[in-house]
Amino acid sequence: MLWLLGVVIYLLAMATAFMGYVLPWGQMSFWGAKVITGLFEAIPLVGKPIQELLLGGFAPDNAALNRFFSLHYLLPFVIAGVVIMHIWALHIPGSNNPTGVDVKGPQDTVPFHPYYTAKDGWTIGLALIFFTALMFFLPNALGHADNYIPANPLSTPAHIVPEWYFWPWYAVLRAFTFDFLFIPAKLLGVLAMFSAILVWFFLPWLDKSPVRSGNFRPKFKIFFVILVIDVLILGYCGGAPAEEPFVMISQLAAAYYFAHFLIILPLLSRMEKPEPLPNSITESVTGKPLNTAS
Amino acid sequence: MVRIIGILVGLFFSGWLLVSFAMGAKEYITNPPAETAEHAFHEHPKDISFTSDGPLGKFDRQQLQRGFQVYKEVCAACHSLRLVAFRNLGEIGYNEDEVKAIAANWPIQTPDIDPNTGEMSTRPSLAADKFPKPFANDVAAGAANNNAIPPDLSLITKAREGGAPYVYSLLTGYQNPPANLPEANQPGPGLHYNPYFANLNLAMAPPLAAEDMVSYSDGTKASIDQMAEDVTAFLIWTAEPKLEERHQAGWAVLAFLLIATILAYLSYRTIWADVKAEKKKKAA
Repeated sequence: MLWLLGVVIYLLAMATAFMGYVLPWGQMSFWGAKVITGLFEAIPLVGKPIQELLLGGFAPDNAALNRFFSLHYLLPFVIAGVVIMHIWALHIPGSNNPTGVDVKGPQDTVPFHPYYTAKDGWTIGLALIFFTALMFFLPNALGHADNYIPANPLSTPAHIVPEWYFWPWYAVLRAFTFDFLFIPAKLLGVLAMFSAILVWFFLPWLDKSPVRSGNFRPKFKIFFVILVIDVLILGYCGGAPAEEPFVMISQLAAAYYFAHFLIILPLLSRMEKPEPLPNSITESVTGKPLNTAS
Repeated sequence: MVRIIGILVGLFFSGWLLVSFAMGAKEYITNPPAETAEHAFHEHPKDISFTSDGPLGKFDRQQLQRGFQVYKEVCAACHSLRLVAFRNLGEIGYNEDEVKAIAANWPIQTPDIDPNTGEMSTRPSLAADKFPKPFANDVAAGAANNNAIPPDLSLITKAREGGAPYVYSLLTGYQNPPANLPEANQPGPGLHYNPYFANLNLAMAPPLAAEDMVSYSDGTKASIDQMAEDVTAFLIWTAEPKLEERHQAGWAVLAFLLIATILAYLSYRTIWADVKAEKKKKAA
């Protein structure tokens, strides 16, 4: 439950970020909006009406800008609501921990406050230092120069790229270059891009391993490291222009991405022999068995 | 059930991607894409540094004023500066009277006609006015410039890949086309070869064609390099007039966060001391 709500929050944050990117109404905003709403056009039969409904017209214009602006401030409230549900899910159905072993007694845990407020407090400080340095000294490092040119429907930028956090998914979208029988490549790309995130919803059912921690699954660890590198490669290809060899690299990387979640994980959870689990969290940390008497 | 469907979907997506990869790779090997002249002859911006670079960067006011003079006497003939007002010139060291004098010499069109001649009338600019556009509209701008509309320069150092070094390289990068340039990429009529421009041929004629096109009042020698550097510095300022304030605020915020984070780290160590000691004791 906690995981599913987390994925919902991630999706909402992506939507909010995209709508925010459209608001400056520069070249990349305009053409980004055109590309993203163009994705819906790929859906057979209902695609075109859906796209026109989203944009309020046949192309991004004032109506689109207005509704994206409304949604951009509406969605954060929706996110806040889901965050509340997320916290509820943390307290009622509960969460996992790095050892994957259930809590067996009060000695296994420490109170959130002061222990985790203190620990999170200083790591938030580190994150803010990084964020501040980026914001005050390199404000344009992650943006795109074209967005300082006002939106012009008559002039298309040489390369349309989304913001950096969308790059991996954009690479998946562009990896589909050939039609499959009667399904056009564009629709395949759109389906694959949405599946790439929706697959996370099914993770609890795809990965049926009895062990709930990667720490005790040596093969899983290897595949996970490959996945992280794979997503980084996808991200790089998504930011690069749509030319060879980037398209071919992203095809291989996207193939591994789907294979990892949909083929490797289900099979691995059945075939892998996990290492022995500790008897309790206390034991895994201190090396001594949990003293249930005290 | 979910897993069986999942494996089938996964096989489909991964399989089709591998097939696409194979087809793409075959095409790539049998028919490799030829390197375009735009790619082969294009050059990356020259290495040049400005006083405003880096986290400690500050503007050189004297240089900005020289750069403004270049804009006024050379660029302004074709390029607008629509996001900058005359009063902003106060920020680069002109006093109020100087700003007023500069504005007064710059006629601005009014939405009115001269009652005697019936022509569009103008008035002297005020300090509060934005820089007037050299052309009434894009159509006029295109018609006067071989159909290439001169871009607005207010944000140009942020709105081009490569930033300020690109602008400087473009201004100083005009040259004769190399002998081995393919016929299709030779500059056509009204175009000028410049390897720093993405498609190599640029409609803008070399704007800084000769030395001493402007005469600097501070005695600096107006070489082409010097003028290009000065006007680029000026355009960095127009694109980001608050750059110095941003840098200063950044250091103040960083100093605050650094102290706060160190304090937070120390309190984290104190609070966790007993838990960690227990771990160490039992592990030993």
